[in-house]
Amino acid sequence: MANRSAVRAPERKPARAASEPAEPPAAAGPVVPVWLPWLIMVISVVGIGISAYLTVVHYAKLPLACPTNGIVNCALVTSSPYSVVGTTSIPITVPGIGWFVVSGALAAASLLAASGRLRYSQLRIAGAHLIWAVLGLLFVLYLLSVEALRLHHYCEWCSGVHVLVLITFILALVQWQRLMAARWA
Amino acid sequence: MATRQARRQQQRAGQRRGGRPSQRGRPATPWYLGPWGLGAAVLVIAVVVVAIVVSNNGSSNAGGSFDNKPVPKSILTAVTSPGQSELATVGSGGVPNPWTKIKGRQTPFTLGGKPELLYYGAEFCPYCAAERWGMIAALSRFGTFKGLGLMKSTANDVFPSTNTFTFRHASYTSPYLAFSAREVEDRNGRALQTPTAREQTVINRYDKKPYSTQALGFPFLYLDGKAVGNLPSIAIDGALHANTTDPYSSALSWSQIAGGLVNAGSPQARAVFGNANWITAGICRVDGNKPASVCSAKPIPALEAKLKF
Repeated sequence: MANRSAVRAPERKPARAASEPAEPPAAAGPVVPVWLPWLIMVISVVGIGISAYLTVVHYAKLPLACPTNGIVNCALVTSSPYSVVGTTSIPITVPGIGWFVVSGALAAASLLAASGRLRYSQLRIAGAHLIWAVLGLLFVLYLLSVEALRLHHYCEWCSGVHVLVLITFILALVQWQRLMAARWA
Repeated sequence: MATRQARRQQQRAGQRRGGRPSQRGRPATPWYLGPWGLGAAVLVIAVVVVAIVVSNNGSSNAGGSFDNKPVPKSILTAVTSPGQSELATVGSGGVPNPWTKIKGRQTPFTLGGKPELLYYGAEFCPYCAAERWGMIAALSRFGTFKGLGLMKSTANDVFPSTNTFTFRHASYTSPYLAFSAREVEDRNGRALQTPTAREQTVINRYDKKPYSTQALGFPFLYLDGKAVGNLPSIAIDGALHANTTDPYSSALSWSQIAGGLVNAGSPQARAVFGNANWITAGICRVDGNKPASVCSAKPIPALEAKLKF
């Protein structure tokens, strides 16, 4: 009789549940290109700049560098009741600055996480960034509906900020998709 | 056998997720994690944005029983035929001098050999709504309007739905003055009339600082190349609403405003006829004080003496 103890049965790994993603394979390079979070940070800086300009104009009551031509009327939009937070006198550009600051910080955190200098996973940060971008996008759609349906005029500077939020959302989505796809692979 | 079982489980899991099992048995990337997912998100956003931009805001600005309908005679009479004594009593009505002299070289702005008054405004514009009352009252002293229509300013701005008129289909005849009106947008902000190249040149040059607080803003009056009219629209607009100091109070009806015009002491008469008296003084200044029955009657000479052009 063979000595059964000399033959070791092959290790039985527990079957992986269908919901568990596979371990990410050893990647040849970063899953998320390095330029992506950097681009989000640049967008955040531009967004902070425009929002800060609109804030200064609001408080100093300076004229906006924006022509009034037909449907474009920055002064009307930025002086409407919808240009402040609720019933306060705080212009909505202030929370806008806050949104871009957080977005830029999340992009920086993603870079740090990718280089292993942050203890949070890059995927988790990307998920949080995507949620933050969705919230920003929803608020942009609200402001756009106010311009179109209530004020019937648009503000070029505001539209510029809205585009920056939209681009941030797209980049955040791509970042999250790539990280999630890498875990599924 | 255990390995085969695990492989089969992976394949089934891949199929449940909707992906085709790869040749190596690993689950395929779900569609929403790839370009299709990104495309779907962008498409949804685009559809929402387009829906917002093209949709009308519904009944509040929809054309109603007023939209460019002929002005009832009683209302027109109240605006265009105040008594001379009432005009004298109103005087400036507390309305400040709206005319600003054109600095530097003044080029006459005439039409048909007559000094021309150009009005640049829009039907949605609440301040234009206030100005038209005084303009019609003043211009009716020098000529005759035809084709004036009823209008309301937009419901979605300060002084909402101010009851007023529109010059959209109006014509004006006078032996003393030419009047050109450009309502460039309708009540919903849609493009309406376009200034001529000559008019646009003047608008581009003078509808900005130091003559206007807002470049290419409404309303804008340009008188014979000599003066720009910055009429105190906010004060006048208040008089056309229930609460003169609340810019969101409900608008008085045409009949209510017309009813107030017969009383020289009412806010409506002081605002509308005070504004009209200033406009009249400006016209008298550029047309050689004709007709004398208008330009010599109180309070026009006193107001004309305060003009700086």
